[in-house]
Amino acid sequence: MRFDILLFALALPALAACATPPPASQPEALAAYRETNDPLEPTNRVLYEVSNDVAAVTLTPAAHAYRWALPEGVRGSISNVLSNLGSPVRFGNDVLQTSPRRAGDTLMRFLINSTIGLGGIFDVADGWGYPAHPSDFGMTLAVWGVPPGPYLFLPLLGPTDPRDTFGFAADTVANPVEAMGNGPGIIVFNWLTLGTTTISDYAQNLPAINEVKRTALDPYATFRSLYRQHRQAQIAAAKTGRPATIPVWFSLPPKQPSE
Amino acid sequence: MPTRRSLLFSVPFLLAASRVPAADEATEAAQFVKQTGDAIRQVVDQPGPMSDKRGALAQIVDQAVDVDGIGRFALGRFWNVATPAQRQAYLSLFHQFLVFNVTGRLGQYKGATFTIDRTEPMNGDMAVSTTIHTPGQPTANMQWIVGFASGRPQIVDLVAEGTSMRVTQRSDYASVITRNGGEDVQALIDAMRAQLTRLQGGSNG
Repeated sequence: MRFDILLFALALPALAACATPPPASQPEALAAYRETNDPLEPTNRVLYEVSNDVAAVTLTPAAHAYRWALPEGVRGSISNVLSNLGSPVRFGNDVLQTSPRRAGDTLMRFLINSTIGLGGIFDVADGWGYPAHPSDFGMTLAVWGVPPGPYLFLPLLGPTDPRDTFGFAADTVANPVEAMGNGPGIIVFNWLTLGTTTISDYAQNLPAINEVKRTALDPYATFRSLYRQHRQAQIAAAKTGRPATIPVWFSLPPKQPSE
Repeated sequence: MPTRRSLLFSVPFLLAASRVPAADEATEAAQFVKQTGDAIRQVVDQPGPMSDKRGALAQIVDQAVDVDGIGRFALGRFWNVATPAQRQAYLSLFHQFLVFNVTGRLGQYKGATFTIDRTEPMNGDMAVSTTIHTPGQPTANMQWIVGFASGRPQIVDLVAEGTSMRVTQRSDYASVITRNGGEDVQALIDAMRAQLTRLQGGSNG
């Protein structure tokens, strides 16, 4: 087993192969190659296979056990608490994206859910007109005009690109809990949060992941497309500021604003 | 008895009726999604395994979905290099795939209800947003893209969390063709055939 890992580590530089672009005589194929923007495809595919094999004996059984042991309501609450813990970082990114409405949403969500929502267990704010939205440093960079760069498939992170990889690192460092020092309590708390977040997220996406693996002819290419489209939609929403975030009580009768 | 004036006034209305205006298209699209969704729910909520419901669901798919249009879109630039025989074989396989995937996916929506949120124009089609509530699962948002190219409303795409079904499908197919030499649609047809055999074997076993 150890020998296998050593062999893999030695083989890594050799695996960093590049895909060969189609010749200029095939303009359509060349345009498609550029649109796919996956010049490291051979390496990415190897990392995808290895990650799948590792997940099959680690994350997948853990996620199955998690889904088996806890009903949807409890899983939803855990996901809410974890999401609430990420609010400060999300708020910072909303501000950096110069989205006052979305920043206001995040702030109100944090205040309402941390208190009335009992530490984030219940998402009360959603029903009050402050819906959740994703916001991270990868999105902030995108709003600032930084291009995504080539597609990457990385162990642990999964489908990503240089912009999102850098964003993930920046968000991790910016977490206020990180700034509270290196005491054993903090370290345990951080690892617990990271572990639970990973399993909770994976368990939530497990049915969709299995469905792609079962029906797609080329799951690698399908995940690549899904990841890109999903991120583009999130970034477009961050740029336009949608969805509308007027709280429900704001538009209540007797004075309903005309549509 | 209609006067000349009343006849004169009715002419613009008759002309308007010959082409459905956009506002009516929005209402029609929303109604169509409601009808289709209700028809699907009725079949899915019946007792018995999903494999028994495939026939009824295939009928709904044939009627409500622009299967050939989505199939052509999913083949992308390779549609032009495919021979007529290949196109026919591909569309037939695509149809079977779609029915199989739809039946497979709908199984998890047993007991689900849905609400129609808003309808808006999108690239010449109508996008109908819905929220799906399924017992024991988080609520999901789904956009049904309804086209009117055939003269009647038909589903041309489904968008969930910003991901389009037909765009994703096109990436999958393009990758299969590109990885098998570049321009040969036959490689895709072979792969689809093998996958379909495998899926059908899995569902029976």
